[in-house]
Amino acid sequence: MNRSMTRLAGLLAGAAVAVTVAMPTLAAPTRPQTIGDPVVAEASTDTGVARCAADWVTARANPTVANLQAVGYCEIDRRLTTLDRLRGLVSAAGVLTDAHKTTLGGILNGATSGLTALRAHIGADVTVVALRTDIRKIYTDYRVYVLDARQVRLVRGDDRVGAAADRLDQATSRLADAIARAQAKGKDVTAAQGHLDAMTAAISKARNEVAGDADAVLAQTPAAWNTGTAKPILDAARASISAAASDLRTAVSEARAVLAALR
Amino acid sequence: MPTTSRAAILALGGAVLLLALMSAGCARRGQAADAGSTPSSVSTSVAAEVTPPTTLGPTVSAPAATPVPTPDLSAVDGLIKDIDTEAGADASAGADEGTTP
Repeated sequence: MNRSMTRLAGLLAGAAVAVTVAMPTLAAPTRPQTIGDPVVAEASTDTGVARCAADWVTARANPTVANLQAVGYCEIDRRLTTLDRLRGLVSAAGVLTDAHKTTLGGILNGATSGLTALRAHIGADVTVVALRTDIRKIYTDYRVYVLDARQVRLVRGDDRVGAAADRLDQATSRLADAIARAQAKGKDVTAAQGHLDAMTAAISKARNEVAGDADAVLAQTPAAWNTGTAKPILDAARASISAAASDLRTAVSEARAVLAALR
Repeated sequence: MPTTSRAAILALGGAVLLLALMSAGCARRGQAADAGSTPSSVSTSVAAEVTPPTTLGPTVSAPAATPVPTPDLSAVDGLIKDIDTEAGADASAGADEGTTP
């Protein structure tokens, strides 16, 4: 009897020690494997130049039909993935105007259709010469990264400037009302009014910075890129967006100064 | 009572006590994990009217501070941050084009 109780005591004590050791592991939440994990992201969403580097090395060392087809497929597939991602940005934006959504959707869908057809063409090519020509078209006829991706980013930026300016315009109305009420009660509102005027000027400056840029950006084509006329327009649009952001920050700062002056 | 029986009982009691303590510790950890943080609230400041105390002689009172409805500037701050993000993404967008063969 005593021996049994001793054994049982030993078993229970051992179980308690085992639970003590295992508890930190059991308590730690398991990390779900999501697309955000570096390894998963690298495998499924890598659209960078490096994705096709190995195929290029193989094709340059041994330019056969099969090796060149592999290059063509890889370059087109990574572009198709990018176009899918860009479509997501267009539809999920929330601040793109309907007109810009439609135009960008047309650009991206056109590129997707064209590249899909070109992929089939590459699959049907039987000579190295024909393949070299078609692979070159992936770049020259579909400027997915230097043009399409930039068009999406720049127009989103322009429309966000417009949305921010609209919100600040609404704020100026409320602040003007507050100034009028304060003045009616005998408060000196000179400083507040000065800040409100500065705020209004900054909002107007922000709008002017990007006026017409979205349409100019959307009008660019792969052919325009190839002749060198598109890049300066895109670069200028980005500079305007940055300048507009600075003006909007000034407007927000002036709004806060109005509030402080009225307290 | 024989010494060996007493030792066995003590050993058994000690093991049970240890197990009970471990269970209590686990329960407390579970409660702590379940408790979420209370969301912080953003307070908007409203200036309060100040009425000076009554005194003999002429009364001079300062103009009452005006309660100001605070516009939602945090939403604009968010949009400006997004604008910066788009400009940054544009700056690196062309890097994946590669060289035309």
